[in-house]
Amino acid sequence: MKRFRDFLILFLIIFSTFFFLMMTVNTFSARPTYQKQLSKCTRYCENHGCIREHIRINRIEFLIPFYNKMSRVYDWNIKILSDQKLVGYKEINIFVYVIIWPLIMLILTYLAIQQHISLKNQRQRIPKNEHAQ
Amino acid sequence: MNMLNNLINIVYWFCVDFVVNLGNLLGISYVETNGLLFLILFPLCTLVLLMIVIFQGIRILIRGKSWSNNA
Repeated sequence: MKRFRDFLILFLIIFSTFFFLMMTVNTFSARPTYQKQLSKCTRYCENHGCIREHIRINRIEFLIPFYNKMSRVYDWNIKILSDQKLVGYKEINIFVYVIIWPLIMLILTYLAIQQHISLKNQRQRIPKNEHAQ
Repeated sequence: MNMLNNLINIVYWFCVDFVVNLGNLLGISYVETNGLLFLILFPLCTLVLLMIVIFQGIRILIRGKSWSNNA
């Protein structure tokens, strides 16, 4: 029960931090629009992909191969997520990137903290044992 | 079902808006921000956390064994 409570507290701390960060960024930015704009990205880029003027990485010579590789993986990722027949792209996207993957990271964070605490406790117990001997 | 669809739509566009706005704030495009977040940062964080968990797990095991040997 204590472990579940600790896990819940960690979840609430991380969730509220990220939610607050996302809310702040969205609140202090311009209203979302579906119209294409040359100077910045909008929801248009989500539906149709970014236009050439938006891509900054292509202006840095040594990053171009990296960008090409990244966009290939990105396209492959979109293709895999949209090929699902049971659920739509939005649903699977939210399921993978908002629920499952963050949950895995949260569990790993919880495990890492628990292990760190148990290592610390072990270290504190060593002098006591030596003293007893 | 309709309510669930609405909720999914709200969450999806909230996340898309965040990535779009973050990209605009950082001065990079939506695709680049997406790649940076979900193709680099997410896997990197998972890998680092996994390594920490494995490394600490091994340390706990070794210490446990050495203690049982001493006892």
